[in-house]
Amino acid sequence: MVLFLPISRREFIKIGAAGAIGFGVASAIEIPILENSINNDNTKISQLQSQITQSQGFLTLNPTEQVIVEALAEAIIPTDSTGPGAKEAGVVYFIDHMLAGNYGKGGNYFLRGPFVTPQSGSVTVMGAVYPSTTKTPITYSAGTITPRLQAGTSYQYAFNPREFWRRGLTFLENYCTAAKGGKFETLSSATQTTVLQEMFDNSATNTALQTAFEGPNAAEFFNEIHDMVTAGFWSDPLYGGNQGMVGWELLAFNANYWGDDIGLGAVKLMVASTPTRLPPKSLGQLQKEGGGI
Amino acid sequence: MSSPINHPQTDVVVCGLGHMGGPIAAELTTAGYQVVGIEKGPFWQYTTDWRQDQKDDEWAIAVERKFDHPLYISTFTIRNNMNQFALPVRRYTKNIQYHALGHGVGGVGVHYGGSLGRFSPWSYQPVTMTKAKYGDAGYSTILSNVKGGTPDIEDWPVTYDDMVPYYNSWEKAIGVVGDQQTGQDPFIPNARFPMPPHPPTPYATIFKNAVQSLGYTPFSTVSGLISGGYVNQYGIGRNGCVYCGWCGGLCNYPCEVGAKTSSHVTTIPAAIATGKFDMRLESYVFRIDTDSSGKATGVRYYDSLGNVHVQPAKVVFNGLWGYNLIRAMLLSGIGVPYDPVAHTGSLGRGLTEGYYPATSSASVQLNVGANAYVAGNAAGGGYNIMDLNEVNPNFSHADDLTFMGGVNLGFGTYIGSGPNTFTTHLPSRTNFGSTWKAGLKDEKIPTKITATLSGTGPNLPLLENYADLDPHYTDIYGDPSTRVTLDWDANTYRVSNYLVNKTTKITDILGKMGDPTTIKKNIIPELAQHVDWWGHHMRGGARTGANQATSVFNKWMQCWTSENIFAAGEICDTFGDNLTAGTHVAGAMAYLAADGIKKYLQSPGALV
Ligand SMILES: Cc1cc2nc3c(=O)[nH]c(=O)nc-3n(C[C@H](O)[C@H](O)[C@H](O)COP(=O)(O)OP(=O)(O)OC[C@H]3O[C@@H](n4cnc5c(N)ncnc54)[C@H](O)[C@@H]3O)c2cc1C
Ligand code: SF4
Repeated sequence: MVLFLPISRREFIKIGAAGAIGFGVASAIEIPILENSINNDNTKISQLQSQITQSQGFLTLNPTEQVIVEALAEAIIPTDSTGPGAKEAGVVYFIDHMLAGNYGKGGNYFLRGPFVTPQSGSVTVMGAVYPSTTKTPITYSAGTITPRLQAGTSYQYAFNPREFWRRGLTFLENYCTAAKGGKFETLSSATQTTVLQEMFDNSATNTALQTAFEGPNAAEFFNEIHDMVTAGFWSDPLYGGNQGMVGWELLAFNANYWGDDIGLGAVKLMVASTPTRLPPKSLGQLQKEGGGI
Repeated sequence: MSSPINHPQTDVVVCGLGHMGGPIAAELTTAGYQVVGIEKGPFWQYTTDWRQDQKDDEWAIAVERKFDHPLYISTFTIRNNMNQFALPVRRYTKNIQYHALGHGVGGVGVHYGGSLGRFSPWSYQPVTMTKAKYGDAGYSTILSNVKGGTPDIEDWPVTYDDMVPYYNSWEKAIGVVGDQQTGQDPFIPNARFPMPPHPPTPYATIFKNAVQSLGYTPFSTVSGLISGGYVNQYGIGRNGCVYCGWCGGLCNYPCEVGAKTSSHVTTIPAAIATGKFDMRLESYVFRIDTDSSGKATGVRYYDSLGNVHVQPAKVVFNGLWGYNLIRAMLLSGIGVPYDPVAHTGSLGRGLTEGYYPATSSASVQLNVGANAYVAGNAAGGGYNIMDLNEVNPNFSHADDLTFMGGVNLGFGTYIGSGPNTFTTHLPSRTNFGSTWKAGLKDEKIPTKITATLSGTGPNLPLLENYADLDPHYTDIYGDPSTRVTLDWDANTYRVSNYLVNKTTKITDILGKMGDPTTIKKNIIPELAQHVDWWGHHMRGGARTGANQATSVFNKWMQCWTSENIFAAGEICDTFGDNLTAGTHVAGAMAYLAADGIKKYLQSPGALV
């Protein structure tokens, strides 16, 4: 099942070279294909809605996307014996709000052509070799470093992060349906973990994965999901995630609280050989108190 | 478009008001000259724009990049060798603010790390002093071992001693923090800093005692975040650091109290106070105009409405930073562009990245705890040694002549960072799910911390690495972007391998710091990674030098081919040795350039 057809690599490069910016694929989404899943999704969403407060709601993620993103967030930061996870933090709202605004629009991005899509191998562009963006892990005596995919030049798309997510989520569902027998949110937690690892590995020999993902590739999308889920857990509650500062609580991150009002200078707190754990304070709290410098 | 707006001639036009533009504006206006400053960004006020209750925001700083240059205005492209197609940087790498470009008065300085320090005498004369130590034959052996390209190394046209007065002026202007009695290091003479060091962390003291017991000479980490109230030579006063915790690490923040030194709180206010400084904000310089003799007549810029302005000047100062500095000259046909095949020409030549790929390191467990969130990376509170470096006459790696230089080994500065940027929180095959989450609980307030020591040496200039204009990508106005062709040499791997693996120099120190049975070595393979974009320390590319054929500027930072164009910045370094982050060195260079400009205005002509 293909929801929309990515233009082939070759064509994309050609179009890019000519300076075209529009990518025009979203309109190819076929509503009827989604019908069944929407019904299922609606049940899940009504469960989710029980948690929605007045100020919470969705600005850009459609009902299908809401469910996948929620499932992804919970797979990455589960609610478990360690404490609250992505669910309690409201990570899905964070991602929704960010994708609806400047972040989703790629407000600061350089989005002019020519565009050259990422490849797992190298490819020749206008007579020059375009290097691979797939980075091989470096193994050394203490373990393995995987160079971050986002570094430098990895984002080479004509579309903004909102589109990146629209495509990535569709690819993910296609892959899970084809290779795992069901959509991501229906899979067991163990299978979800496997899927995430397969995305991270982005192995050239995983044909089903390579067929499903084409701009963003699986590893790029995994990195993006991970970045956004963790950001939703650890950024200031003002952005819609990290509700009740549960993310900071887990890490004992004191955020905007220096402990000065309990008579300990920051340096003292820092250097104690039995370190003091400080309760965090959010920007909203600080602003209400009229605090800060 | 309407016709250009013509301004009356000024003495000096300063392009870019970052760490480099600031000293020029302050020195020339206080000397009585009329100065126009042109800056593409706004003038952020820390008292309002960076109040603590708004600025301490990791999402805004590490991802949305509220205070960075918007890439849609201009970007640059990068590739690893000249046979590749260079790709544009389309977005900043999340959570790693080393990928950052300046925008606004203060430039990158408003949110840099603030880790400072002078270069050593060796850094200015790497060729002469390496030869003196290992002989001509030893130096040839080193060069023949360079991997990744053909070395293109030269001495600076100035010595460390020449630079001492300029270091002093720069340090006074920004209030550099460090040892006031003993100075930076016994091998770097006459470095006495105007501000005392930050209080040491307990683990810094452990390092200090360990290295002292081995006969080394530790000194307090040199910092650009002031340790108390301070008034500089221009009468501009500032507050000391309050250890807010939102300062540095993988991601760097602007400062809510003005303790982080940059031109917006040090030198630009001084220029404004003279009444001789005309500041044009949100104005984008696109050409330096020249007459038939090659002399600059002034600059052209766009204002934020797209109007073209012409600003004539007796002297043009190029403080546009790195790639932009080179690009402005290439676009204006100034200087001789580097030819990477014939190896002739100088503009774009000798480019290196002052950052480094992962290097070998070793670690040990210490018997102290820390709350890594409190205090913040004030780039201070630690100690360093220069003993494992060429500046120490007793340091020799004659047993391994496969690399050049050595390390500035430091330990113990405050940590401080927001949660999104810790490496254990970044995407990886294992960084998700319950097991990972359990490991995160309270991880940054351990009762025992691990000390890691690593060595990073210089990245060497190679004939293969250079900057030119990109044939495909342009800025928002249609002018070509800078194209960077750059890859690592193996030098910094080898320095770290020598200290960690081939010798016991690092493990000896660790053994004195903690339980020797917990020492672990991490040995990184050579050249396992290609240069991606780091970008916070681009060196070379528009070098100052004694040889007109291979450098763009003479020792006064005066352009060889256009006598009234001056410049400063790390991009003008003849050789950058990674001993210190480099802005300190460039700041002294800006004071030298200010002297050059004064000399030129008094008596125009070539200064060399
Ligand atoms: C995250 C980060 C951390 C760093 N940490 C350290 C550190 O710990 N220690 C250290 O020594 N160094 C550090 N550096 C490097 C240091 O910040 C820079 O070397 C220094 O700030 C550069 O100063 P500059 O004046 O050359 O350039 P900038 O500060 O970039 O100033 C150039 C100015 O020119 C303006 N400009 C550019 N193009 C145009 C144009 N066309 N028209 C008009 N204006 C223009 C820009 O907006 C900018 O304000 C760090 C850099 C980064 C990015
Ligand atoms: S730690 Fe100090 S210098 Fe850094 S931002 Fe906070 S107050 Fe400013």
